[in-house]
Amino acid sequence: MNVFLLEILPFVAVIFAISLLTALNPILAVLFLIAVFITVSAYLALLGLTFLALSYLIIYVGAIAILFLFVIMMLDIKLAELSSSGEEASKVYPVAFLIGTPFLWTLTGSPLFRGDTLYSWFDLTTLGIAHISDPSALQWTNLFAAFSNIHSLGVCLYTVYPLWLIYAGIILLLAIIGPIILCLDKTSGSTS
Amino acid sequence: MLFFLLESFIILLPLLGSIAFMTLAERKVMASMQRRVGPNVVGFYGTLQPFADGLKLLLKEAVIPSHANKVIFLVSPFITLSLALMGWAAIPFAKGTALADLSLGVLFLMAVSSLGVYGVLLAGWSANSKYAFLGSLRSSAQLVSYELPLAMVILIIVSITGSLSFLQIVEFQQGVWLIIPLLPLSLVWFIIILAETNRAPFDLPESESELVAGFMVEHSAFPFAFFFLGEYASILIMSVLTSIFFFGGYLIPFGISSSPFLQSFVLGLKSSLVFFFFIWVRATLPRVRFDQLMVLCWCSLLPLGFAFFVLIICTLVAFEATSY
Repeated sequence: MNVFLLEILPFVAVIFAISLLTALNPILAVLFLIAVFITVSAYLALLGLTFLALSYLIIYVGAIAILFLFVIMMLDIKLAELSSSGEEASKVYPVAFLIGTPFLWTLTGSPLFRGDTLYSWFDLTTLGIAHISDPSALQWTNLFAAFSNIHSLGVCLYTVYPLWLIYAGIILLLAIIGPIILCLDKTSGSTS
Repeated sequence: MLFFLLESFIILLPLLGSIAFMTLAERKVMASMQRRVGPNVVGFYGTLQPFADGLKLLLKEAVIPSHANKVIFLVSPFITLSLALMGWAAIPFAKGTALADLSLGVLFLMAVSSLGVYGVLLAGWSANSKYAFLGSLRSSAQLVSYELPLAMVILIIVSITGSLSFLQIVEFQQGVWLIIPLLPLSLVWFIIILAETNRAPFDLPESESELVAGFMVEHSAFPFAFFFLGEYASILIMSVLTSIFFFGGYLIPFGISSSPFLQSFVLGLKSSLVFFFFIWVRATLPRVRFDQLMVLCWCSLLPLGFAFFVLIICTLVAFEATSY
């Protein structure tokens, strides 16, 4: 049963993702986005990564997607405008195809780009962790067998990748402060 | 598979029954607080009143507005009810008696309860009516805001007990119930659960004497009954959570050991007392304004939650009292 679901769920997620891109109604698009998140978290839970699955649900579905939905619902959008803009958007598809195909090609490492794939940029040397002698820490998914989910993630983050944790923290901080700075009205001298 | 279904039914059927009697209890208690009689015609002293109400809702016609998005309109009450029922999978009713003793049970319950906002949002939007829509915006703003202090309180309790499993949180309170060291925090928690379940004095989404029924104004008959059931199921789950987090769950005071049957009875008793508190507050306090509600959350409860979090973590570290 589980194996069957593991085979099916990625397909369902891709179908939802395609309907997300093609949906004309923005609210339906956000609903499809939520469906993608839920299928992905179900996939993670079936793989045994329950902590990641639940945090996916709490953070993405429970907080971020609700804010998306909230904002889009309050926008004043006419359905007629939506269908016309949809036709405009479909003219962009060839360009998107032209840009997207080489990107995917590089990403997956096709014969044309062999040796310079996107994946190869992220080897141990560039990540700055080549000096770590303990190979078990690098194969961090193996830790799940030994500890609980949270424990093994914590061991990984705080012993092997602390620098990357701090980088991610700083990026998040910038993402919080940046919009506030952008919204400041310098002319009137007030924050409204 | 069959066994799993049977297990779920063993939990769900009494749950739906207790929801029915909760509505009756609320009407009876409110009536006696306001010197009225309350429902007393159907059955013995009105005990069958909720079933009569349910049957009435079942027999009525479900009106669907002509410009509504029919699928979402009908699915949203279902989402609300099923999410309110899903949380019960992780609740321990006695020692070792839970549908699933998840090691991340608290996280699971938080995930499920944070999804509950979707039922409200989608119901209001899909009805294609301005009243329902504005009601859903108000309601979801309230739910999303109060989720943050709720998560803070849960984080504090998790950091004290050192576990995300309900069973271990309960077993941690063998020595002392957490309400004694965390009395100020429990007051914060009581305010939050009132707001999170849309109860008086924070029942702004459906303030019956001022507005129409808020986000579910267009829902009638059975979809409405689904919302009603979902609302009361979430009130019940909040009562049980309160007794698990602060009143030692199924534990009997003074360390008296007992059979699983008695333990689950004790849990039910504690939850009923918390539910009585819900009714008591509803019959006593007047409704607050929406801006007061938001100021209370963002300017008082959330900073208080953060402050408590830092204080309690520091205390635990200073006395080397962490249980992990």
